Amino acid sequence: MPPRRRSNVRNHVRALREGHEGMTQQHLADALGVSRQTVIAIEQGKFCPSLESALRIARLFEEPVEQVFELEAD
Amino acid sequence: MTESFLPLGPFILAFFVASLLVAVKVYRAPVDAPDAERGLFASACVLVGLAPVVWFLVGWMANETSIFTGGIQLVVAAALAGAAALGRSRRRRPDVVVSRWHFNEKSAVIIILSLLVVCAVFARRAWGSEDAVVLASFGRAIVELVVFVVIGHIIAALTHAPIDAAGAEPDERDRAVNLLSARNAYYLLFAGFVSLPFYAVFQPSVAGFVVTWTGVLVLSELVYYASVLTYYRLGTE
Repeated sequence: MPPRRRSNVRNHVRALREGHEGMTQQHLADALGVSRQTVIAIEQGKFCPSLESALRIARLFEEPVEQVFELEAD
Repeated sequence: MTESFLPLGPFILAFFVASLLVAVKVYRAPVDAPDAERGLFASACVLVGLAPVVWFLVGWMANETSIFTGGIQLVVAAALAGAAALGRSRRRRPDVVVSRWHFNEKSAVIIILSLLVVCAVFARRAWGSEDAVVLASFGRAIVELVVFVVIGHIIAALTHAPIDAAGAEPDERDRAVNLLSARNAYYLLFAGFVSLPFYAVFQPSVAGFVVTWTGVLVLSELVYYASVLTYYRLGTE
């Protein structure tokens, strides 16, 4: 059985959020309907959000989803 | 029984009744505070009133007193009142600092510590004892576990900031952590369940079988909550 790999999905949520003046982790959490700790985990790459949340984040920042999330090379 | 404690009886009874009245007044006070907060203050009042009653009854019937005959009630009362006061001060501060730990992490720590302490005490009481003693200790351990976990969660909820987050609906990360942790615990529970018939070959006593089966459950719970803690700390990816 091959060893379990960490996710290859990287995100730019933190950079995008900090680019939006005044947007706190709590604001983003409220917009997504998750806890602030979940937003922290997403920004730190400890948790990969669901497709629905990923699309919501992209819509919130008015960016294509592939600008927010990207697949790292294997 | 001894008669030397009897003259104190009316005073202790009056103190107990007064503490009950204060507790009811505190609980029904027209203040904008969560039920849990008022409930904790009221419980502390009742325990303060109960402490001399326990001391009196044990002293009267057994002619002996110790820290457990009244003192433990005072310690718990102080803990409950302190937790309620802390929760109240945090609730009233508009610039409250948000807790860095998720409430589920605190909950996992409380349950892990409670399980370890109660199981250690149970093992010390029951090791090498007869079946009746083992089963009595087993029942006592369950009650102690429930008390520890309930009090721990009340205190954790009141000291959590913001306090509403303690009872929040689980989000997608909470559900993912729960599923992954349950999977890990299931492996151990299944292995234990399959192994038990082999243990029966050794013809253990009823108490031995009950304790072993419960031990498997406790171990799987420990794995579950340790996994919860790990996934929240290190991530699910």
